[in-house]
Amino acid sequence: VASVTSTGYPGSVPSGIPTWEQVARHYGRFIYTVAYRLAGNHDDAQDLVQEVLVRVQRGLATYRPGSMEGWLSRITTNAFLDEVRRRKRRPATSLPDEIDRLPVGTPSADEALALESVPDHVQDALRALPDEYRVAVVLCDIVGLSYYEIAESQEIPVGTVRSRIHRGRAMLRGALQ
Amino acid sequence: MSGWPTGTGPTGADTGHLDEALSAYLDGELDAHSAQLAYQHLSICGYCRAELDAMSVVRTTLRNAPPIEPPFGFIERTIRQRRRRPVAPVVAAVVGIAALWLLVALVLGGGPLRVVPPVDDIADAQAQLEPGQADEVERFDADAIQFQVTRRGDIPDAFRAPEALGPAEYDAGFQALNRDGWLAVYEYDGETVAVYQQLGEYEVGSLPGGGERFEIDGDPAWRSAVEGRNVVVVQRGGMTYTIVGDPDVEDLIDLAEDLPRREDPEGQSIGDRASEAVERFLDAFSFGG
Repeated sequence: VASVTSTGYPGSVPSGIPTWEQVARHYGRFIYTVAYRLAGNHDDAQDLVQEVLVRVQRGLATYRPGSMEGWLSRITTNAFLDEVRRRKRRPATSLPDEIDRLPVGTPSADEALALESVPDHVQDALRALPDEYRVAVVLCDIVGLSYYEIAESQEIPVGTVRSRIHRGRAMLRGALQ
Repeated sequence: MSGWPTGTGPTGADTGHLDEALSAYLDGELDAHSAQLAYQHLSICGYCRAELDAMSVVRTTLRNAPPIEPPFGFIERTIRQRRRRPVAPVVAAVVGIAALWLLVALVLGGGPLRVVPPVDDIADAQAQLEPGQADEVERFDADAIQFQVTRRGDIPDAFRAPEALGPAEYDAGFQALNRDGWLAVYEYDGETVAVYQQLGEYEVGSLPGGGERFEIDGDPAWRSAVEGRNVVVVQRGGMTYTIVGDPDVEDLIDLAEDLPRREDPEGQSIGDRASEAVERFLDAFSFGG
């Protein structure tokens, strides 16, 4: 789990309240990993990361020094679940035409093919989980949050967290063993 | 079995096995007493031991999964493109129209431009940013004024909070621009203050109740009130600043003292002044290339 939180970018992790650009650079890989594990593919992960960075930019003034990974995980999962709800409401439409959504250059066809063709049985297994179970499992086993932290970030009881993690892992057994 | 950690299966019925408590046991999320009971049960229940092993494999596999690398250059591209887009397109269009309108009005219009501060709109905008709720404010359209959220660290220099609010001590703010000026609303120390800037001279008597005239640092100023909020207008360097806020009027005057004094060198033509104003608008909103 610790390897996910290492950023892979040069320079020290900013102390105090960083700028959103520092967050993007230092925690970009972390956000992307969580987004990819939740969203299930690189296209949606990129959309999700952009939305997360918009929310980081807007919300940074309220961030208080503490667990940046926990804060970013919360933003990422909330953005993911918001998008899930939006798609359920409007299943026939594409991504919302948000004014803040940027047409960031998408990877080339070869690049996309290369990204998607990397065998990833973990991702395949996670993709099959119901969204709520996937969020709980990702926050616990990919991000490394405690049950209490997950309960707080998702605003659900700890007992619900425990149940979702256990049932999610149980559903993954066949694919991961 | 009394004292069971949870002992309920997916249906909620007591199964006699650890079930959900297995994952909590693996994750160290049971309290000491429950963990001890689970340990004792595992020592006598082969079914739960097998379940524990299976869950442990899943957990370890997930936790050993490597981080996912974003596509090459994705993060940097996202940063660059967000940096280039400080305002929404609709605001951008309004800014462009405002700049051109000002240029035409000043170059062709001849005499000094008179402006009427839209105090009701400014007060509405100020009321939109409740202290501590800056996160919930996104953007809104109050009649003619388009608003754009701005965060500390992302405010163009031209719209930095006045020094009276303290150096970078405001928590959040947003800026806006309508046909003839720009607006910034700042949150500071539990209060919100709106500052509206227009290019031109104040149309005397246009404040609610006409306004009481006084001076701030030698500049003509007027004070009034709207919807229970104090209003201070100061005319400085060809600009009219209108400040609306909850604090005492004396606090607003302190704030007004720190508003920028625009350089207005002798001999500068109206056209030069208009061009400079347009440039400043364009620079502030990153349209200058």
